[in-house]
Amino acid sequence: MPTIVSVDDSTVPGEGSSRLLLLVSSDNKHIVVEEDIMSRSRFISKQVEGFEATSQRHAILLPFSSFVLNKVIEYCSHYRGYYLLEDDPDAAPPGRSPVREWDQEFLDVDRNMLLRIIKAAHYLEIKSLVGSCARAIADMIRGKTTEEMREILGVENDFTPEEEHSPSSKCTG
Amino acid sequence: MPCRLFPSAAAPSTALPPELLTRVFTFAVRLDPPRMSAAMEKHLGWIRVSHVCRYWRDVALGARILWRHIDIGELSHRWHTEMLGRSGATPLHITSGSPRPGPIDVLPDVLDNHFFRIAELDVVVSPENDGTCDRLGDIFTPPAPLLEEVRIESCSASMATMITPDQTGDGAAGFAPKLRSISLYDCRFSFYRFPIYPRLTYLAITMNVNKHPYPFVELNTSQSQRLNNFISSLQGMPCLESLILQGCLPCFIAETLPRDVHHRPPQTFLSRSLWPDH
Repeated sequence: MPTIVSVDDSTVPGEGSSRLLLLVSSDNKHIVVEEDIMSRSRFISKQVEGFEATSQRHAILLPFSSFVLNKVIEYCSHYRGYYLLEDDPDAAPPGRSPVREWDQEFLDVDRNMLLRIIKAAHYLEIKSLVGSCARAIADMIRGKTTEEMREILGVENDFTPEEEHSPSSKCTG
Repeated sequence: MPCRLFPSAAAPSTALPPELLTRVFTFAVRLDPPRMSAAMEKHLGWIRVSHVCRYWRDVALGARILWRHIDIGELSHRWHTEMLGRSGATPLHITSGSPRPGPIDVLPDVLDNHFFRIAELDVVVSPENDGTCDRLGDIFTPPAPLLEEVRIESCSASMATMITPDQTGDGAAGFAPKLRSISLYDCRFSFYRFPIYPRLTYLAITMNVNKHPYPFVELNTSQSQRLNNFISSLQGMPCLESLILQGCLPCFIAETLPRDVHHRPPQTFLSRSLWPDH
């Protein structure tokens, strides 16, 4: 359940044709963004529906930094108004596509940032961005050894030596 | 003591919840499938994620959908059995789509014990698998409630013979009610008993007439009856959009086959590449 705080109309000018939202990041940065841009987020859409039901506007507090939030807003701005087949990436045809190429460039960030973005996208329920991030991570570990995967994603090997060499711990075959 | 569920809790930026990790693994399945190298060395591909740490292993083994894509042309029989078990009851995607088809020992077991949950079947029958041809012959006989796509290519000298259920009319829907695509290459097929698949949208039967000049199963059946039954079956499939028949009809049938066998356009392609009349 998100934390919300009441704001007055002077904070969020939302009477015009283009309504605005106030998003507050975990580092307490206030970011004003057009509602249309964030409509790709089911989480935000549900929040907005809640506002309309109560006739009150609120700032939406989000549990990630402004750096990550701005990155998500950049993604949503780029695809504003577009229907993305990648909303269901499993249904997307294989191969190259302009969407995939832009996403690859957009997600050409370090490991920690990529993981923060996917978690933010998951929290905001932006399926297409979750899918693109997941694909980017899968690309990072493709063809890698187990040890390389651990290094790439900073995962600790918590198998005991016995487990690691046991067929039941790993897989048979 | 590492946390079992979120082992990287000490470094929260790297901890992914199970649903996200499963999403990553789902892409890894497609990007890095298991395979045998040219030197017949085993490459586990994406399966290696289950060797990274306990958490990843738990997530991978808990996500049954990851294990449903089984390339029976790769890895070992033990691995196939392991994957069949790990996939639980999820619909299976069985393929032998590797560029160099080899022995597919596990196929009889798959057909005997898991056919009811196969959603996609894409099999290349190679010369090493002549014995498998007979098993494939029964492929359309048992109920296949989840089957959606079938593609069978025979590279074998003895063609796989597809035996369809001896049933037409609405009852055939019970065999494969979801089947929407059939592609058969160099497989003998019984036109005489061709069933009605109510949701079939794509049907392609292609014969290499140079390899197999006499592809018919029932050469003794009267030609007109065979034609009538086949056309009657096609007319009973209102969803059929693409019909490709190459080298599998004798001239007299192909010339007679009406272009309007379908009730509903578009019929995207009707190839009448003919089998020479003998």
